Amino acid sequence: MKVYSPETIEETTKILGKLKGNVHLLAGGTDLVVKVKEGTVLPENLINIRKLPLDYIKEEGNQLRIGALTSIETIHRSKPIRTYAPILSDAAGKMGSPQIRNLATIGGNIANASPAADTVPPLFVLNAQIVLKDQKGSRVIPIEKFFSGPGENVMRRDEILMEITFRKCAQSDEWFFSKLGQRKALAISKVSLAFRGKVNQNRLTDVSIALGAVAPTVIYAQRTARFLESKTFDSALIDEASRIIQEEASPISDIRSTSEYRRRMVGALLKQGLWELKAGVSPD
Amino acid sequence: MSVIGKSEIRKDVRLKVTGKAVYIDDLSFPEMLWVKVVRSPLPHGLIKRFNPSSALAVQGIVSVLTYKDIPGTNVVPIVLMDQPLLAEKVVRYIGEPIALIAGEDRQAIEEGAREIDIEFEKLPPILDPLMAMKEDSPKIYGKDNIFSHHRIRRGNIRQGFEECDLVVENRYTTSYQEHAYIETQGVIAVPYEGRMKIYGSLQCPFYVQHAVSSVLGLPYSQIEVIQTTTGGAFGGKEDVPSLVASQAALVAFHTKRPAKLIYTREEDVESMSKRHPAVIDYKSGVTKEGYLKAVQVKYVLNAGAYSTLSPIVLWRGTVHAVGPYKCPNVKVDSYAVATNTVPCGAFRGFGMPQITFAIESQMDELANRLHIDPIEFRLRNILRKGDRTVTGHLIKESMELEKTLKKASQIGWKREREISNGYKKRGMGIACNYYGVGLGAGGRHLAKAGAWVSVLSDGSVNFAVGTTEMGQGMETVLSQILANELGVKYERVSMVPTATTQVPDSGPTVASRATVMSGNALIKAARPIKKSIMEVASKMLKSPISKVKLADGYATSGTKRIGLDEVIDKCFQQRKIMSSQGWYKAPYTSWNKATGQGKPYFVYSTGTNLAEVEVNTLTGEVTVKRIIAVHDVGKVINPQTAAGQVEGGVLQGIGYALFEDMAPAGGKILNTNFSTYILPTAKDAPEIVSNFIEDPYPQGPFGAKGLGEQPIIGVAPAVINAIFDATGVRIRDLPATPEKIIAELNSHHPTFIPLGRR
Ligand SMILES: Cc1cc2nc3c(=O)[nH]c(=O)nc-3n(C[C@H](O)[C@H](O)[C@H](O)COP(=O)(O)OP(=O)(O)OC[C@H]3O[C@@H](n4cnc5c(N)ncnc54)[C@H](O)[C@@H]3O)c2cc1C
Repeated sequence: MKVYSPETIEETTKILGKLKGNVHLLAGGTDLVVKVKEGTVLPENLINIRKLPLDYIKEEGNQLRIGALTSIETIHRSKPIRTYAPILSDAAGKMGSPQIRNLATIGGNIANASPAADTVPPLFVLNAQIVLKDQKGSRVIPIEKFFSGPGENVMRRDEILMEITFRKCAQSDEWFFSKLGQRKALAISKVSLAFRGKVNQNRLTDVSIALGAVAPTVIYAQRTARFLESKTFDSALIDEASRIIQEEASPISDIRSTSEYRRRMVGALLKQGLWELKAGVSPD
Repeated sequence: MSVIGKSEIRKDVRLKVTGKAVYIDDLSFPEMLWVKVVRSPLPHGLIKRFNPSSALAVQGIVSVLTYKDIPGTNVVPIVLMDQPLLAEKVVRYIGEPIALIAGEDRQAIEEGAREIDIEFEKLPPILDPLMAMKEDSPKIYGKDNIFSHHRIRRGNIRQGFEECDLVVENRYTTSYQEHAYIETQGVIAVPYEGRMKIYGSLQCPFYVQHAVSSVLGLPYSQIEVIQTTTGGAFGGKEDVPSLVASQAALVAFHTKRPAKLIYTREEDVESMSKRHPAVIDYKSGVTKEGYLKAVQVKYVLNAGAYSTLSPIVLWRGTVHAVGPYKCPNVKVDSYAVATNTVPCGAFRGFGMPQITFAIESQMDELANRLHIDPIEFRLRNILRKGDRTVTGHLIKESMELEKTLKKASQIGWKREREISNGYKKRGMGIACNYYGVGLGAGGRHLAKAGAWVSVLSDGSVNFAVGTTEMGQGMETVLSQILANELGVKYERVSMVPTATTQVPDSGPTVASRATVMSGNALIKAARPIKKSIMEVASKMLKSPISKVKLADGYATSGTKRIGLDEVIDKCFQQRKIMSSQGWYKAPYTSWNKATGQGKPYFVYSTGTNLAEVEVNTLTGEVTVKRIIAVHDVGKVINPQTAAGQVEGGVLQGIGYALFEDMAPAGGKILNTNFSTYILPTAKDAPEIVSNFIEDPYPQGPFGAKGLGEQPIIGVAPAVINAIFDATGVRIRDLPATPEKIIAELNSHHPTFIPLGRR
């Protein structure tokens, strides 16, 4: 195994462009090192990207830009993210443990392409864009186009994930992120759900819902979102929406849970979140 | 002031928290080889071909050994002698050792292991114990696949049930539980002038000595076992290190070089012992006044491919199969059954957490159906002094279950429930248990312990015992006992690492026995030394011996006092006996194998756990809010280590109740590390209120009984009963995962309304 430790982006993309054989980028290593230990990944070339200047959170007008190497803990605690994308900060705080959050990066969470990655459903409802770069230049991909299957994404082998950008949320946006794990910390999501929308005169508008761990990639629950916008926000609407959303999921059974439970929980998490939202917004 | 009952600082704490404690993997010796075990990938199969040549060709590989290289007997001696150290022709579980590879470093042995060429012929495996018990099933052990069968017969079971107003009958099942000691199995074997020294992470040095001796064909005297700092054990390092040490020793024997063998977490989980999965058919009957009349139990343990300690685990579960209750008509049949799965063995509680889950679930259900408060119902049935257990044992002393029950209920049993918030339901559950301290009649020949005490001329004290420190606090508690006995300061006392050369065979460090057994042996060892000190002090103080008291580093008589260091110095000048051996034999026990009657244990510890939970009925998630654990332990020697035992046991019990699940597929354990084997974390920990009832046990050191295992035993049923109280859902298959709770909540069975909610 060859290890490279480039210090600039140019150097990195050059190495990436040149190398033959398999190449793996190492950020926090909390996914990659586990796979190397398990033997499912045997890197011939390892590029340690931790020295690259990609650890930042920037506000530009109504945009937020997050560098790929920003740690999950930094995102959880960041003032601008708490203010303008509280759902992302909340989801980051529900990941792993303090040790993991300090090492893990948002770029790694996305590039790893797990359907259970916890920053991804919030990034879906934030309509985030992913910025990729190779030797020749950059390209921008909407997050929902980034994933092609469990553990698979559309990045080419000579590209690096540079940053994530999205529009700031309005103060009036309602949101919640719910995650079910096998315990209260250090738990990979069995099911997760990100909700964003507005409540106007007892109606929901601008609803966006993303689901984690119940399909080969994170998905939008579009039918449910449209349905929620169609009628008065009351308990009948909530009940019906939590039925519809179960049809949008296509979960599997694995070592962490069963498909049946996961499907039911998609509905339960929506119901629980909307009830709490409703109780806080306008009592029935 | 007495050192007994004081929270002295643990002897091992400084080294451990500063990272200076030396665990087995921290040790190395010149010329040391690394060892790796080649294991079976099949649950059942024949070894058709074994070719080590390509492994031997790997650079750095020194030796590949099989059963043919064993100079002694190819058996790990435990109870039934059925387990080979290395498989010969047949493999019987996934992970069974076949060969040993020794090399110059870790990389070489990993590569060597990949190169080993073995061809198998698959045989159909039996994975389910109930299938294995069927007459027409293939046999993997004896005529019936049954390693061990125990029974209790008392009264007339048929008539008993006829006299009942209510009979409840259910099946309970439990999963494996993994010990999850932080330090995996590890041993270094060092050949030394024809002898073999074994250093290792282990609970029972004498077991290891006997095993290595039998495998190498050397006398016990040539095998020296030294325990290194042991990072947790919980029963998982009781019999199993015998196997690990024999593997390392075989390599050291042949290569004449030190051999180090450290298991990876994955191979440890795959191949090492665990808590047995159980299937329990439990039928109990009561009168409408709430008195237990009849209990019938069939208790089946999935023992795995070899018997290891299963016969004794099963025996303990059998003895306690009715719980700490009176019952005139009892029929218990228990079986440890062979299957092509990993051999199970000792784990804190030793066959009792499984059966106690069934017992206390039944008790709760009976109380609810009778509309009697579960505490009141238990009070009508519990054992008190003067009662007989279901094995006919007349309890004469130290039985304060009633006090634990009343104390727990006084701390936290609220009939007025907290208002449940919509879909989040609150509930409370209770469970009692008792635990026979020590090995009992099932291990009578081992129920002994030795100790050696040496007071040095500067007044400091060394002692050695045959039981081991594994994180449970034994060294601390025994130091307190000895300090108190000799009157020296606690800080002056220290234990030398446990080794087979220090003291006679003292049996294993299991069964919550170390405080009572080694504590008593130490007190006996201290006697002649104390006599020396008293005699000299009496002269120095010019006071009759009967007036002299030793405490806190001083000899005193009335208002006169003198420093013990000075007295001890004088003892040495006068060449008094200042070091001595002690020997303690456990009190009488008995057992009739045909009837299950007798006095199986010399004393019982008892306890009550009360759990308060919140169940999210939308997601099935259970949050344990609070556990109140009250234990009757005779006497608390060190309140802090005692509370520590309880807190650890409670968390382990919560893991058993809610999280820890292992469902092997085709005999293969899928979750072999802690990313998928789910242990509770600090965030899952409830508020834990621990409380102790102290009714001195006259035969115990300063009145102490055992506490080590008690804390885990009643936790799961208390939690499960609380889930029932909250939701009306009764989970009879551990662990109670959200998946199971949701399935039950959404099933169309008429749910039974818990008493607290009517
Ligand atoms: C104990 C534990 C608990 C965990 N808990 C959670 C949890 O609760 N929720 C959750 O979502 N995840 C969890 N994870 C998974 C993991 O921590 C996260 O996915 C983390 O964000 C990965 O980031 P990293 O920097 O460590 O990635 P790495 O392991 O360094 O990389 C992961 C993958 O992404 C690629 N990569 C990384 N950075 C870039 C880049 N800039 N450009 C291109 N490719 C890149 C790497 O090549 C690799 O393939 C947990 C992991 C562990 C070990």
